[in-house]
Amino acid sequence: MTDTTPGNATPHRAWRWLALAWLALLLALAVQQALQWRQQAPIDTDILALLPQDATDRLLSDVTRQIADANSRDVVVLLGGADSDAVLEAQAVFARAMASDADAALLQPAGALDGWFDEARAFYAPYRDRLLTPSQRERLRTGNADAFAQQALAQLYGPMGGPRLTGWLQDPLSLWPSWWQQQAKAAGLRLGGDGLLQADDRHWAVLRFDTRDSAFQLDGEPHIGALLDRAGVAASAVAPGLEILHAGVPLHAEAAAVQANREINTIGWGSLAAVLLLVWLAFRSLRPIALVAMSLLVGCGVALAVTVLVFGSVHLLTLVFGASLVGVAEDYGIHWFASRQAAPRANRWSLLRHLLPGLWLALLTSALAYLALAITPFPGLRQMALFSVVGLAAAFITVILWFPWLDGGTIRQTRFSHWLGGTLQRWPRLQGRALWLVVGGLLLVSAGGMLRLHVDDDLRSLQSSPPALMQQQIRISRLLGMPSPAQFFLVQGRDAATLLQREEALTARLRALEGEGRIGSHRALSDWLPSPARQAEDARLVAGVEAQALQAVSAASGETLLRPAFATAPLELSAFLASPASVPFRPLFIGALGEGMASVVLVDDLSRPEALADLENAASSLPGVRWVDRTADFSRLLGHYRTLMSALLLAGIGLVFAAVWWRYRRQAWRVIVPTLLAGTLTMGLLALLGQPLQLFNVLALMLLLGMGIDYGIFLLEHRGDPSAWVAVCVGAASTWLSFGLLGLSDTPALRAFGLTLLLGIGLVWLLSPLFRPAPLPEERLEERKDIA
Amino acid sequence: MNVFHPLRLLALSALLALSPAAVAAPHSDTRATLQSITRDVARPDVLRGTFVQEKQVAGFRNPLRSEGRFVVARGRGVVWTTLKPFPSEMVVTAERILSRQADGRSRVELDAREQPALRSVNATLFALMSGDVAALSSRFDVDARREGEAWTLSLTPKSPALAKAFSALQLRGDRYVREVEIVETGNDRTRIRFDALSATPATLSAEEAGRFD
Repeated sequence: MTDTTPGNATPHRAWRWLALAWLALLLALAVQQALQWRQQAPIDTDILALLPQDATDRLLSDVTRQIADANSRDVVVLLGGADSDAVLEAQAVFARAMASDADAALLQPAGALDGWFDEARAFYAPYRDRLLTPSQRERLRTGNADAFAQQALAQLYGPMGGPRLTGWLQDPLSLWPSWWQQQAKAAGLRLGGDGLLQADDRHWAVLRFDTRDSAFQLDGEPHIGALLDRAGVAASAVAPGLEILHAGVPLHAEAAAVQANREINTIGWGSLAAVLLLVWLAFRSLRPIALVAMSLLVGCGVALAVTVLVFGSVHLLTLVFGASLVGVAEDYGIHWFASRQAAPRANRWSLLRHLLPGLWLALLTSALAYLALAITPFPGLRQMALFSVVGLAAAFITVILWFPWLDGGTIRQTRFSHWLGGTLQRWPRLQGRALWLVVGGLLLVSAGGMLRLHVDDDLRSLQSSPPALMQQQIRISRLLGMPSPAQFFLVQGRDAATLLQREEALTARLRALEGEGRIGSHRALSDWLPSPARQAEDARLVAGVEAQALQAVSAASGETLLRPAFATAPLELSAFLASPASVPFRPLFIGALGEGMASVVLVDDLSRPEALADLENAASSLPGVRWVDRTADFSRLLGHYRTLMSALLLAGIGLVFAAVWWRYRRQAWRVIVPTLLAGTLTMGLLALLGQPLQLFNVLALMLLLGMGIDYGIFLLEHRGDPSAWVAVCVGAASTWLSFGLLGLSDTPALRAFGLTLLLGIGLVWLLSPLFRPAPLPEERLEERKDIA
Repeated sequence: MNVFHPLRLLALSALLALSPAAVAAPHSDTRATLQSITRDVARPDVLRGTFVQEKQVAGFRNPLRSEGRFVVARGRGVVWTTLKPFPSEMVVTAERILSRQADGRSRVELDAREQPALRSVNATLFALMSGDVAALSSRFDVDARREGEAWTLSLTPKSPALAKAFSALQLRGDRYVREVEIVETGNDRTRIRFDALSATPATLSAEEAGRFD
């Protein structure tokens, strides 16, 4: 502001350079962004991207990420029907329809399990004697040698021969097929002979697909969903009454993108249209509309560019939240035009000088309020904070550097502004008993509401997937026994042997719980790769029992039978991981970690009420085993920050009051009381509406403090000035509208934000004039105008 | 994934309770032959008989020979009782596969609740007995020859899963199936001869019914 030469009504040369520098910077940013977006839209849809990268537990974040990434491209389709032949035909038609579709490239069929089974069987064959299920081990340990011999003979002479995966001599007791059978069952592969899954009295065909890279598009169209729907229609045609279920991360991502696209359009364009309409009503000419729109576009554009530069990508929810910025960043432009309208003859450069302190202050308070969001460790909120602060600053800079150059003509007086300015005088002013009655009444309503307040720190407030998709996902998880990626056991050991042994101690406990029906089955590396100690033990056990059985068969058949040789060394982790047999289980292995290595054990079906407590107990007192519940961790974290931010909000109120007191002394209450009343009333009303209190409500109240206080300051600063009131009204109306539109969001967190500010801003706007001071005498008002 | 066991049983059981009407053949002359076989083969509710089985198993110099008797009951399943060289029994029903040892102890080898495939196997099996053409032709390629009363059917598995267990099956018979030969993928061979076949009485005795439980 010192760049303008006082007294002289022309700009300082530096101001001209700054305006040009700003233009150059914008052009550079635009070029850089155009290049980046052309390569690939840096847009993030992953809900995990919003969760904190906890510095104290970086490990858990990485593990969660690894589990989530393992199936981030999978799409699963289930086709269910009562008649298995119809389902098989529907499956064939579905697959053909997918392959011949114009969008077929979006989803490729994933590898079939058949091939994997053959490879895995060949890989494990030399180690067959080292692999036993717990029940087989128990039977071989306690069983009677004669019974095994008889069993071997019965299978040799019997007509059915028993199930075989090898020659009889390689596995005389048929241990190998029942090992596979149990493994398949535990892995949720309960397939019938026709390859169909049988559950819920239906036959289900399971189709798996992979998305190809960068299939994701932000054009608001559900390409993958539409592709699946078309194939579903074709399949239903051959199998009437076919039930079709879809699940997979890409579908959630696409649903989020479609939803975000719709919300960004509603909020962004809706707010922009409303702001421009208000500007049109107030100023009735094209130039203010064009310039305000320009300041908003520059603000949003720079916000997007800087966010992408800083974070590497921008999250969809940031864009949705950022769309509400339109209703806040318009303030600077409107202040400019309102002042110009109030003093049409004033020199533009003197006017700017007069306006600058107020604008700086407004930017500072709003920016501080937004920055409070960044105190939380949630990257999503930090992105939103950065986006908003940068957007506000860019709009502000555009106004102060460019508007004096571009806004050349005069600003016309309009009937609307005149009328709006006049409403202030008719607005009641509270004094004496009326004041106390109103304040007391409003506090009473708030208190009544707040008695019904309940808190909710559920992580799902960030989740916005359509309920239908969530239900299908849950149903498929149950049918296929898919484990939750956010809840798992983390097992650590200094080497592979220790790690696998620790897993075995854990899975023994889990099997007991499974036997009691308290949890579903589990997925553990050690089920497919036993520890060396266990392998050696089982090989010894099997060798003893089989040698005896072969002896008995030799005696009965009169032949000399020799037990074939098996691998002499145990199956090692490195060999297992390198083989195709481990493909489905590699995500369970975390790899080197600290001094040793780590793996995870996943559990299916946590639907029973005590399941989580059971699992936590299962890990207790086992060395190197830890139960991790990321959902609970994040909910705890949300709760922790809700409390912390509430305390900060109170501190902020104290700070603001001190600042206001320093300037206005005994009038300070007029500034702060409307915002505080609006805040408490908002919380009370939300509670009455049954809305739970979340971190996001508290953060919204923080923003309310930052923005609402401005209205009070403005009314106190410009006592009875109608043009100030016009600026407040237009600004508040557009802010109010933007957050109102944000309140329509399908993401619970953003809706909480929007609703809180919708109520809060509306109330401050209504309440602030009630507490305004008596207007200044007429001549002093005139005096003020002359300054301009 | 564990499709071998039930399918193998299906094949065997299907053969014992043969109903060649189920076979749809690609060539018209084969189809005519099949139709004539279908017409002439008896379809009793209960069939009893004795068997002699010879198995050629890898690692054994001589064939393994066993003898015994069997009962096949429509809608129930199969009881296969081996008497020589040592007694044992195998019972196949829609619910489970059960083995009984000489000392009377029994063991469930396969339970339909754990392997739903067993249910569909038995459904197919009984569909076969009632002459459902679609069921067998969906699993096997069939070739038929006939000379007078005697006929021969050669079955080749269609599905890769089934082909992993069997490379070929052959049936010989007249009014009843008289001989079955199974060649497994590992080249083990089983030949079963049936004798003393009888369809009367047409209901199970209490003793026979008890064996199915």
